[in-house]
Amino acid sequence: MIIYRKSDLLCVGVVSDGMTIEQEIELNVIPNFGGSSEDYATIETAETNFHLERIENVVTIVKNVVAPPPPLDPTETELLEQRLKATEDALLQIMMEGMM
Amino acid sequence: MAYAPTDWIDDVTPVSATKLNNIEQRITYLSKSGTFADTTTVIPAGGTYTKTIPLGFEGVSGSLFINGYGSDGFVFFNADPALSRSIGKDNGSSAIFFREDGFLVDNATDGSARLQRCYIDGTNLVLIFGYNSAAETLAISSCTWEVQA
Repeated sequence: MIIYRKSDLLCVGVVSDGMTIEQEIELNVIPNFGGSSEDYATIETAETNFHLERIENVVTIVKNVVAPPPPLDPTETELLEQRLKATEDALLQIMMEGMM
Repeated sequence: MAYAPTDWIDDVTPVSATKLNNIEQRITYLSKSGTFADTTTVIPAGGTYTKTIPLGFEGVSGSLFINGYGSDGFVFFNADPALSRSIGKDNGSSAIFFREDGFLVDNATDGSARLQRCYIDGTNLVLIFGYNSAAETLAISSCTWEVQA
């Protein structure tokens, strides 16, 4: 359950398990975004990447077209470069300790 | 309210419903856990977002696992905000980090909003997100927490 601000349709929170809408607004919305409980409303959706729009006076879930890129794992080359750099740093440290 | 134990003395201290209920309540409140997800809340530009979770008892310590947007972290906390610690990994990196207060876990769509603080405040668990000057959207696909009394 998404909580949004009626004036600009900004998403301001979600209703956590074990909490009522009123509790969530009182504890987590008003202290962060101000106003009173009348300034906020809720909407249900399974979407995770969306925004809200008022279409013909009805608040509507609109799926975002561009999704955030998935995280990339480092390539084998990047891993080898990291290991090489770590080895170089360790050698440098050993050399400097030997000079002291 | 803090737990007030009874100082039991043989043949002196009476067994009463009040004293037994006190023990029962303590057993009930030994720990509490929960989970939440939040991929929609927008942190105001230059501000922070504080999430307060009511526990119903005075917690002492706890931990949580939070993940989203390729960034995962296991956070240890107690009632002192300065003593929060985390281990985890950032988006796109295989390196494991250890972080102290001020930057615990990165959980935002652009990688800038961070779980800055996590601590127990009386009967509440408090999580504070923030960091950047621009408005950010949280990207917490799941957060599982547990607090012990």
